[in-house]
Amino acid sequence: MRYLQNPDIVVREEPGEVWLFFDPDTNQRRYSNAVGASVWELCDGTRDLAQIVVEVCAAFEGAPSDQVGADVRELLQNMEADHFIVRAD
Amino acid sequence: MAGSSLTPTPHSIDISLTGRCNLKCTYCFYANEMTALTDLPTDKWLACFEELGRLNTMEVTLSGGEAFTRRDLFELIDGVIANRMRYSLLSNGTLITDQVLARFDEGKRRQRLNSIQISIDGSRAEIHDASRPKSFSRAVRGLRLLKEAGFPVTVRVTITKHNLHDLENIAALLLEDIGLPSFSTNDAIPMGSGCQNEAEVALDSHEQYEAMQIVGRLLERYPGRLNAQAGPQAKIQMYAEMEHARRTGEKTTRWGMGRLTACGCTFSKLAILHDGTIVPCNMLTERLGNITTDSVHEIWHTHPVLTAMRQRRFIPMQDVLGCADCEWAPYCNGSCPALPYTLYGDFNRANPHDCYRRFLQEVGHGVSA
Repeated sequence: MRYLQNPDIVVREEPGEVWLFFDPDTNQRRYSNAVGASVWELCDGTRDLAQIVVEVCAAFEGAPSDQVGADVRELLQNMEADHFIVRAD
Repeated sequence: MAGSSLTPTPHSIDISLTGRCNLKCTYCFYANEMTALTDLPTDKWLACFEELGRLNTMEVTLSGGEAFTRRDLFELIDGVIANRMRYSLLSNGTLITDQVLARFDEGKRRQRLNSIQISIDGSRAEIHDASRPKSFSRAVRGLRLLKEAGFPVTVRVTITKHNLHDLENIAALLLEDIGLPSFSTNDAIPMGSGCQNEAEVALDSHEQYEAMQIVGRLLERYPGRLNAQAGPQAKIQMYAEMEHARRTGEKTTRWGMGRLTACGCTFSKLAILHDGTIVPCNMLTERLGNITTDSVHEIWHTHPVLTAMRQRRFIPMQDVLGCADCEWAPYCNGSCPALPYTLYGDFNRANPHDCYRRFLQEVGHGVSA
């Protein structure tokens, strides 16, 4: 299953290394950290969960892959529930 | 360094789309700009919205003049929507009809609308029209149409000498008759037309105090249903917190007491006048550039006036001209810089309209009395 960004979502880097996800259709705002922003960037319709985990692990050196896998899975579930991403398949 | 709370790009922009207005209100702060500047054409605004979209700006507030006098208003709204933004509208309400409301049903115009604010200044025509000529019935008709159609409509009541003693009737009209969940208040300030007509419209300190008492009674009757960012209702809270801090030594966390910390808008907002002039705020019209020739991003990060305005919060009130000997300086924040900028050409001054020392001298007692 590959993931794709909802093109209407605005992602802003805010003061304090916080990323703000804003859905203009619903006015929903969610804050995330750098990992969340990286996962978002990787949702370009070409990658599935496993590929995203590999790339996040590479980007955040030293992070245990099991933990990253669980975290990324949860992030993707939350982003999908918020309609920030959709399934590309 | 302006400070760590500066957002990389503006969260929101206040945009005056037009200098045209079908009314001539006695306290209009924008009156001078309306007569001096020319409206930008459609394509320039659409290009502006594209730039704001690239900057990830999230929302715009569209006003005028009267925004509904622009024939291309809905084309402009669609430009806002196409660039991933939400929007609010400020209006006098007189041009709202069923036909106009039907146009919001197209596309995402209604979905992306945060609010539409209508100005109501009286419970009946003779009071409302004293500051907003010949407009009461049309404004209330527009307001009722919006409410009945389920729009996110809000109302702003500007308190003046004309309507001070009508506030309780206005609250009954808005909250009971029309059934709004709430409304907001401010007061007329001596800027634009409000400067020319100050003696006729602006509240003196005694009237400010009376307005505070009336609003206080209304809040007992309608808990949580009146709100304010400025004017008597906001001031009574600010003054009470100053008194509390002076009495107990406990300073509020709502604002930085003892320094020029008001206001914080320049950390997350900008404004654009109807000829494209970029300004810190539509009430503080120091020219920063123009959207037809300058980059909003570059102005946001490099313009010396914005930098200076963001540095105000480091200026102790005791260092502010006219405030050095004020016993309230350790508890004051100088309030909105737009009025001192208008009066003295200097935003690093305290706002005399909101000065608690002046209030005490003129009224003879504090807000806790």
